[in-house]
Amino acid sequence: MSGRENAQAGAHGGLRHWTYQRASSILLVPLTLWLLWAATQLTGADFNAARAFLSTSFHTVMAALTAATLLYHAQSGIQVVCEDYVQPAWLQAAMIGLARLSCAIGFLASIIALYAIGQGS
Amino acid sequence: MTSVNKETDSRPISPFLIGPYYKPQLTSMLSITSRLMGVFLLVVTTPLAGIWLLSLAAGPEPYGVVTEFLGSLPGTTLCIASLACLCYHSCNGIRHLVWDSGRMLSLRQIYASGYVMVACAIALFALILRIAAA
Repeated sequence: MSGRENAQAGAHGGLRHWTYQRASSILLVPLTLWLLWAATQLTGADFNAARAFLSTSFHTVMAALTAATLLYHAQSGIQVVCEDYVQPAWLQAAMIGLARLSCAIGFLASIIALYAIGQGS
Repeated sequence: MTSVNKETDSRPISPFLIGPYYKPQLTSMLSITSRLMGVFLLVVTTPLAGIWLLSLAAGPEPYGVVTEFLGSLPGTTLCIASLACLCYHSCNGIRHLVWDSGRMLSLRQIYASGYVMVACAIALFALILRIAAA
């Protein structure tokens, strides 16, 4: 791949990355307000109270949406931080890969946890 | 996609701009703080919240262990730091979205929105802390 092609591919990937990062930021405005509210309600809550709160369908859906959007936003943000500060290139790529993998695992784990909480099992 | 250009490889990367080369200013300080807090939210807050959620799914005993830690001094400190980071990073994120729409881009407005953002973040932090403690 020539330098020029490389730069163009980077430019298109960059635009997509920028747009998706902004989309996740906009979605996170209401979701963060929900998260802060939920945190105030769940602070000091015992097991049954926390389960009752999170198993209502509204809060289950909000928690799932927040987990998805927040984790997407997090890996997208850490990618930019790695690109700006981490050298050499292999370490930068490894850290971005690790962040993506962790966020994907975190998302799956939270969906499974929310399902289990919703089932009351 | 490794770079083979010796000239570009030897260029300093971002962190070295602030300090010996570039005078620290409100704008750059608010910006780097937002990034650092974003990293804290990913590295500390998200795993903490994830462990809490998993323990709630796992049963009363694991949940008891996790909430006991969160209620301890180190746990509470991490929760309060997480809240501070979430408030600041979110308020500065809204400021970024305003810039991305092409507004508030003069130097005067950037300084003004910086002060407003810090005030909003502190107010939000205090409000949430107060409701949570009630």
